[in-house]
Amino acid sequence: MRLDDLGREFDEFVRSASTRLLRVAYLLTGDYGHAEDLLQTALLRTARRWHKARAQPEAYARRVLTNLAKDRWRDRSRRPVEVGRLLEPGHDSSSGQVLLRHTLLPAVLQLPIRQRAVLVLRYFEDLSVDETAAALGCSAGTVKSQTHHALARLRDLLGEDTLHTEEADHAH
Amino acid sequence: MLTDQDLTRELTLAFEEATRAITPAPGLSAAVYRRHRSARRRATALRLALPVAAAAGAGGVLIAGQHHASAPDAQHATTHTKRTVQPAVTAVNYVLTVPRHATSFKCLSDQNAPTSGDAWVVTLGRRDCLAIVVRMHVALPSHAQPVNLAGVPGLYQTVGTPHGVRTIYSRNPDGHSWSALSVAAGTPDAKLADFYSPSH
Repeated sequence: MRLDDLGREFDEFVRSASTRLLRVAYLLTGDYGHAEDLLQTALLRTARRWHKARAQPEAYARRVLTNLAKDRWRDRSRRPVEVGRLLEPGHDSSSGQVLLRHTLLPAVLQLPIRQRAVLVLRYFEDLSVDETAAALGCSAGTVKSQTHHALARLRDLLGEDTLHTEEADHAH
Repeated sequence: MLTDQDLTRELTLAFEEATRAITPAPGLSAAVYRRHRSARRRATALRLALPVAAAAGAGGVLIAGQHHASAPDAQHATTHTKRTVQPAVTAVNYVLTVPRHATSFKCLSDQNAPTSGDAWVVTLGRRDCLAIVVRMHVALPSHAQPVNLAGVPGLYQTVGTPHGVRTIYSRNPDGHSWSALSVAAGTPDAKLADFYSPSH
């Protein structure tokens, strides 16, 4: 199907899903420009395969998006340098939460892309293990183990001090 | 120590907080359409148009920087990816994409296409060989008949009965010269249509 012929159906899909997909892309890449580029490419590929994607276009686009993010991560020789810009903590947060959340996303961006994607899909997109497995093209067992490793690695990266500060905040 | 549940709850909050202000730029659909159109233009410009000078001058063609003097010498290419060659002189109206894929001289055993001159042996898939000959900037023979290759309009062909060779002519963008692709007469249209991309 020619892209020009997709018309309203595709436009509606873009309108309804693009914000969420862009946010996923942003969390996967850590950079707004790259996220936008990834999203456009994912939408383009979704459109080109609309006959396959139209049943569940968001799931299809999400899968393309995560694959693109994985490809991009493999291609990059450097870590993203934009991590410091990722989080603007809310003013209503207590100091411990600010500290934890301020350091959480940069830490997430240091994870391998597969672990990062698992965390984003499960805890931002709120997908089940099976849905995450489908989005990443792996087994449910892999998702579980990647989640476990990702959380363990996060703890390492955050360090005990940050986690204990958060704990203390909860106690007050 | 935070439990996993606490940590994942904080993760969710951090994700939501970090992305709260993230919204797509207006006109995203339009941008996608634009990219689609420019990608098509780029693909058209970059896809293979057999280089006239290389083919005519060197007695062979260049595929992604490798020289193939003629079909019989084109043995055992190893990659399975499609390679493209930019036009050496001008872009053509129809450009050809040739897979550079495990070509072998043995592929020629049951093909009737000529193997001298500017001949290529291409493999379209596993054990699916095709011998082709390409000539650029030729005149359209008066006896050529229009042919529609699986939805690729504007092509003409001649079928030479003595040798069973089918030659398909596609017009170059200059509007008057033609490119000729010769294959065995029995080659299915579907295989040939994949070689052509219209130039806009």
